[in-house]
This record gives sequence, C-alpha cells and structure tokens, in this order.
Amino acid sequence: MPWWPTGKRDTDLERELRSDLELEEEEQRERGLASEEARYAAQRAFGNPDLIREQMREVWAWNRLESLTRDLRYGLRTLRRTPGFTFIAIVVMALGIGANVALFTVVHSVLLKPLPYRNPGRLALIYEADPGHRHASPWLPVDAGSFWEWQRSAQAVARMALVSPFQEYNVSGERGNLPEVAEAAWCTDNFRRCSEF
Amino acid sequence: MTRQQEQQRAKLLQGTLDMLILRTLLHGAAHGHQIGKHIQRTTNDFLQMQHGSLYPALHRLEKRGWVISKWETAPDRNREFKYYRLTDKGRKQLAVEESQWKRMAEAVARVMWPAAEEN
Repeated sequence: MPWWPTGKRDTDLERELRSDLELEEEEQRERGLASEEARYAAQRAFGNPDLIREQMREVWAWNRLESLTRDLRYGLRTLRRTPGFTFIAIVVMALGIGANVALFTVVHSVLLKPLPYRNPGRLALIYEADPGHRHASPWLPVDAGSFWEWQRSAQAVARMALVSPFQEYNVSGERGNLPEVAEAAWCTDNFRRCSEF
Repeated sequence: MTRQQEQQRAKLLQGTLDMLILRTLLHGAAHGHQIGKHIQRTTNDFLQMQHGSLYPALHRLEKRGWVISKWETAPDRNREFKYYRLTDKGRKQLAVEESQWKRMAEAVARVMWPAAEEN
C-alpha cells in the first residue's frame, strides 16, 4: 500500500490487539490454567483476529484504497491478456478524444474566443428598428442621412462608421481560372479606426 | 430474514454496542480489555461477546470523534495499553443514544405488557 499512515496505524492496531490477547492470557493463567490452555482460552474469548483486523481497517477506509489498486492491477492484467480488445479500445478512445479536441478547437475559435479587437465588448452594430411591424424583418438598414446625423450628435462618446455588407462582385479569372463571385462590403473610410477604438 | 432486515438488525446491535462502550467510558479512561470485561460483568455475562469485536467499534467511535485514545502504562501491570477516553462530543452522543434507547424500550414495553401500563 502506497499510503504512509498505513504502516504506522497497522502496527498500532496489531499492538493493541496483541496487548488485549496477552492480558487475557495472563488472566487465564492466573486463574490456574496451563500456559498452552490459557493461550487457547484467550483466543476463544477474543474471537477471530483476522476478521477483527479486517473490520478495523474498514473503519479507517484503507480498504477502499487497497481495493482500488487491486482492481487497477486486475484490469491491467486482463488488458494484457487480450491484446486485440485492448488495441480496439485504445483506438476507439483515441478517436473519441481526438474528435472532441478537434470539435472544441473549432467551437473555441468560432464561438468562444473574443474577436481580435482591442475592446470587443464596446463594439456595437446599429440597425434601424421597425416598431410598427410593417416589414418581415424588424431590423432595417440605416439610411445615410440618419447615419450622418447620429455620427455628428454622438461625436464626443462614440465613433461610427457606415458599412454596407453583402455586396457580391465578379472576379474575372486569369490564366485559365474560372471567374468567381466574391463577398465584399463597402464602408466609410473611418471603419478601421472604429474597430481599433 | 432479508438482507435489509439483517442490515437493520446489525445496525441496531452496533448502535447498542456503541452506547454501552460510551456509557462504560463515563467512569473514566479504560482500555479495550477493561471495557469488554466491564460490560460482561455488569450484564452478568449475558452479553457474551467476544471482546475482539469491541475494537472495530472503538475505532469507529474514535473516527467520529466521540472518544480519543492514548498509549499509557497500566497502574497494576507494568505494560502499556491503549486507553480510550470520552470526549465532550461523545458525552453528547451518549445522551442522544440513551434517550433513543429509552423511547424504544418504552414502546416495546407498552406492546408487551399492556396491563402493567394501565395499573
């Protein structure tokens, strides 16, 4: 057992049981029994020392730890005896762990990691709202007139830039490549400065 | 007897033994052998338990903090024994177990000897 108090407690426990047995033996001898007989009488009066030792160990719960190491040893031995099963089990676990790690890496970079801006929490996207529900979407694009008005009135507290995303452009192919559609956005010239705020 | 009943019975006996040990230690510190002898003598040898079975109980009580133990030299024999001593927590526990035991004994008595109750 790799558990330091075990040795000390074990000797203490042995000493305690032995002192009881010896005392009982002495008393039996004083009562006039022959020494051999006295020892047997003492053992009878005491009970099964192995059982008692076991019960005392249970009280201090070393047994749980002992049985854990024992289980581990059995497990390892069984695995060594069935290399095919062991191989498959290891491969399955490795794949499972690998898949989890890959998935988490994606989730982390896409969803969890903050955006690479200095103050991502202070960036905001502004829409115009449609409280009257006349449109299918409550989020409406901002018209340029309102934007300039807002920018001027919020000058002291915020920087604002105008973005018009989802512009598709044809990129013509060169050297035998096919032309492609590229996603692009228009923005006012202070857009980059806003994100570095 | 089902396993559960068996466990309950063992628990009841165990609890009773704990109570007897705590009560014995009320007289002062004692080692395992003395406790066993005292219980045997006081019950007129009715509780013929093998005194080895006291030790798991003593260690259980020690772990719960109801008794503390120390190796000391016995005054009559020139040898060291592990003496157990009641703690304040143990004293409180003894009061709790005593009242529980009393309640149970009274309940059993009322069923067994109903006439005696009415007299």
